[in-house]
Amino acid sequence: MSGRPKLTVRGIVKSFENDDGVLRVLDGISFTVREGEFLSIVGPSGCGKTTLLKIVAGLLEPDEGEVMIDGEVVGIGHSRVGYIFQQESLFPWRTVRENIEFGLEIRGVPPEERRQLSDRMIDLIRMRGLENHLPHEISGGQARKTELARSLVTSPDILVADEGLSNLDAQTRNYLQEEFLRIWQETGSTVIFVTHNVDEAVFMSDRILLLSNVPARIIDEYVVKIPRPRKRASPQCLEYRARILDTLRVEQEKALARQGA
Amino acid sequence: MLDSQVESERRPQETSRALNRQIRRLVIRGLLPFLIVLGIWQLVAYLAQGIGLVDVATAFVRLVVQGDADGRTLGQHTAMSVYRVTLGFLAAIVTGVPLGIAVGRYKVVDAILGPVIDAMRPIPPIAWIPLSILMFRTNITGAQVFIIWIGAFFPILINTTAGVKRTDPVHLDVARTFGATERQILTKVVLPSAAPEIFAGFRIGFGIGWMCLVAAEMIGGGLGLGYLVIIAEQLGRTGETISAMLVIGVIGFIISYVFLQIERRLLRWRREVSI
Repeated sequence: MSGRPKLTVRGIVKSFENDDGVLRVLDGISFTVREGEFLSIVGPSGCGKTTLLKIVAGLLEPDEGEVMIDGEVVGIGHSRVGYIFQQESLFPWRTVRENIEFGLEIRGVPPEERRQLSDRMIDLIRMRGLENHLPHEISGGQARKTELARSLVTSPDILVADEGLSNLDAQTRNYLQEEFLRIWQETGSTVIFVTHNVDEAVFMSDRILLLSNVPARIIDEYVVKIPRPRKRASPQCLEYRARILDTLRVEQEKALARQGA
Repeated sequence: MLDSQVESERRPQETSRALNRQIRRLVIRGLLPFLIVLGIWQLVAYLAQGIGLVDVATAFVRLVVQGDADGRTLGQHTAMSVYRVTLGFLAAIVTGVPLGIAVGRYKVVDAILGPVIDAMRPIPPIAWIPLSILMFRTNITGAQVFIIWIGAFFPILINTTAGVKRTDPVHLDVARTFGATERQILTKVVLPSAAPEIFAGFRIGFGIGWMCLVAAEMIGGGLGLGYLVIIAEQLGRTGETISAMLVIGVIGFIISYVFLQIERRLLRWRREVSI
């Protein structure tokens, strides 16, 4: 994993106005993701991870700072990032195949080519035979895989997943983690994976960034030097897990102390 | 041995029970409503002019075959009414859907037009009759179509607006991550997502437009079911009036049924989603 920088995020600051005044959510976030890297961002709930992803994907504008893809500054409305949203986001009126082809339709890809590409995706996510089902006819895990395929089919520069595998039962989650890794390896994508689940981050990532509570800053970075395929309960995984949880606990105590003062 | 005996005894019993259920269903959902409708009309006909359903049936057949006092058949009247309602309904779709999308999607439009719509909506379509005559002068068809349009327009507009406002924000975000233009967002996300509400608006709008028909055709025009209702009564032909009313009822029922069936088929995805 020593590819060239794919994504550079520099000095991102973002605040929102609410009833209590202005809330600073992101407080100077900077990091780089290399081509083909699997980067996880871990942080407490409500710490602005989704905001950060939306800025990276060009759905939100930062107050300060910039996002660069392949050394080029990108602004709002760029479409170089494939996004897997936190909540279910398949179009319920479209079949699995039509959902996968959505982005291709938007880009004006002709029908025959769309079909070829979606066929490849259906095989990649191993959902052959389900392509003509509507979203309500498939399981939650299959829906997530379809969303993954919909994001991948347009070959985005970067794939971001926002808590992509929460809200699933443990078994489905484990299965999808492995599927996600397999697909990542087969496609060679660059991935930013947001989660609040430390085990998941250790099992899947090349590198992990730890975010603090709001206003969020990067408080630590871990390069996960465990060879793949990994085993969830291996001593190495557990060791990383313990170190990360320690850091998070210290951060939590600091936050509580701040609130007390 | 015993089991198989029980089985073979149960089977004919079960089929006869199923048959009973079928007959019950038919009586409750088909025969009884039909008889009640006939009863109501018998009562109405008797109270109005001391005539019976047989007289109504005779008048009906005469209307179909020979026509009214001017020799215009029931078919001609019906065709004219359907023509007018279709024009008014299409005008309501063409105006109501785009406006509903604009109000539902763009906050500025909503802020400006929302109060206007709320102020116009409570005015009954019938109250527009005098003004429509003034506006369209000698163009009677225009005035009639206008009344029907008023009736159908608001349900279509309101439903479209509600449907568009219900668009899931995450679906809009998905479209944006692929770089969709506003036009693509409208045609590929907003419209299909709002389709159930829009279609319900069509059904309700058509129903109200059809109800406005009688009022609209009272203006004149020499043809149409509403016109027939009025003119036959003025000539003392109550049987013809009732016949025309029955046709209005039956056609309204059929069209509403057809809309509902199309709605169900088209929107298979929504039923499960809402659960």
